[in-house]
Amino acid sequence: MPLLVALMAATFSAYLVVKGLRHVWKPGFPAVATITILVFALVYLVAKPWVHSQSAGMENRNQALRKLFHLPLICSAALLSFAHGSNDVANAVGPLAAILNSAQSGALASQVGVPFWVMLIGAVGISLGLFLFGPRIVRIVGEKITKMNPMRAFCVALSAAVTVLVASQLGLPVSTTHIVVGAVFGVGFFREYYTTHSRRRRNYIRTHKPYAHARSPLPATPDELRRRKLVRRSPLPWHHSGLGDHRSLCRRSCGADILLCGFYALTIDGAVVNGLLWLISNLSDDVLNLTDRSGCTPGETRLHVTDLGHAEGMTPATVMSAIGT
Amino acid sequence: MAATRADAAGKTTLDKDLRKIERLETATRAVSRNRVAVGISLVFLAIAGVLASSQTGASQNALILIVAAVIGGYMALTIGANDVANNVGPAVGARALTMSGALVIAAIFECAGALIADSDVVATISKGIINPAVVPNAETFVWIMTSALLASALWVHLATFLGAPVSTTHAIVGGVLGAGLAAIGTNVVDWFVVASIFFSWLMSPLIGGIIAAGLLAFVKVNLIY
Repeated sequence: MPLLVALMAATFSAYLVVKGLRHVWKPGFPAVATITILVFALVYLVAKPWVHSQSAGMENRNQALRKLFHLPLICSAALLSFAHGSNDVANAVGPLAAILNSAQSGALASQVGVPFWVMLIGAVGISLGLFLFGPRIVRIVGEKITKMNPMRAFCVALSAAVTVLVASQLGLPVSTTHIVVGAVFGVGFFREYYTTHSRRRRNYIRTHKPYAHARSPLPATPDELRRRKLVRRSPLPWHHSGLGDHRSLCRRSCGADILLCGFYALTIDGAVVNGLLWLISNLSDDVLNLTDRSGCTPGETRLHVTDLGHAEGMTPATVMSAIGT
Repeated sequence: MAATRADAAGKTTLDKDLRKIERLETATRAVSRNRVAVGISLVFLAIAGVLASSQTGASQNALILIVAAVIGGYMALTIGANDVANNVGPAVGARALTMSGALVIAAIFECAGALIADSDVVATISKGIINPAVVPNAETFVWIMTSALLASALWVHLATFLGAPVSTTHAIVGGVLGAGLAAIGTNVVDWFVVASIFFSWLMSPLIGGIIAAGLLAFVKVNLIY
């Protein structure tokens, strides 16, 4: 058992280091492979004694395992934060960089990179937002949507981190929210499958009766078990209206709610954007009129701004190569 | 009546009063903390604006850039408030991390990820979805991006206010897409990029779920019970 935990920690750390370094160095595949193997071996050697010392005197029980998984879980959460930072900072910085590129002079527009201070605004802003307003949603995600034990949380965080990192490597803006929800559901469906299909697990349930405290006098069906474990309560306020027996339904629907919210985001944004654009175009006309009146030669500004789209030299081909698809 | 009930529960009236005062104090603290948070974020936005103006110098578009930097900072704040919860939420829920520890770790690694990792995704959002070469003038392009940024920041703010963990990625991609469509038309949108992004949205939760299930299977089969 310590061997296997060490193996988990090793694979995870290999991911962490290789993925992290890949962004800095961009080494070739052989180099990456060697580094992966090296780190894997190294972390394995480190993790094995650690697990041994930690598991000394422990029985092979669930409670002990949970404690053993605490450190890997923290590491995987950190990795997921890293992956999220690499992908989602673009949500704030991408449009800003685009504005900067097109609004500044042609010399800067030809430069593909994003200035450091722009990234800094994104990074510091995200951290600050987390510190100031984060705890509420952290509580909602961590406690209200799902009841997690360290093992499951580790699986969710690690798989989400890997998926997000691969996506950012490809230049695809993916949704961490949805990947985490997908991973939670993956874990839930696996547990459903496992509960019904593993004889060992069935025996365990029969002998230990861990669900004997359930409210219903009937023996819990696997489906009900899964619902009870998978999703606890809807995070959305409109599900807290006291409608009596919609408890279990809520749990399932909240995942769907989160997915739906994403698509609402698309449609609502479209609508909001239309309104804003109309407003801004009116405003910008006013601004232009003002500058015209203030004696600034309008022709100069026009030339200055119209040239930029072409000065960047962005053809679809270069865009494609930039994305790496 | 109230006194007898309190006595029955083994509490004195004094205890109840003290608890009331304590609750009042926590409520006051919570309210003032909220004010402080809003104040700090306003200061941050101001700093972002100043930074932008100092970096861009006295160009003609300095005002637009400052406004864009402030809105970008606002978007970053809302992302931090809403999206980062997914990273550390499970760890906090599993009682492996305290809330403050989780916040510190997330902030450090979030910054590291943003600053160390290269900006392929930034390129996709800034140039991939809408092809800047097709936009007739840079001015329109600037307004498209500004309105997209502001719209998605407002949406994420609303979602955070409601306590719903939503996808900031969907918000911004939808915003850029919608703004481009509204401002110019369908020809400005690079549909191949949009299609690949949509495909990745469909696939990534599935892949995440499959990997998570596989990992849990490994743990279950080899370690537990």
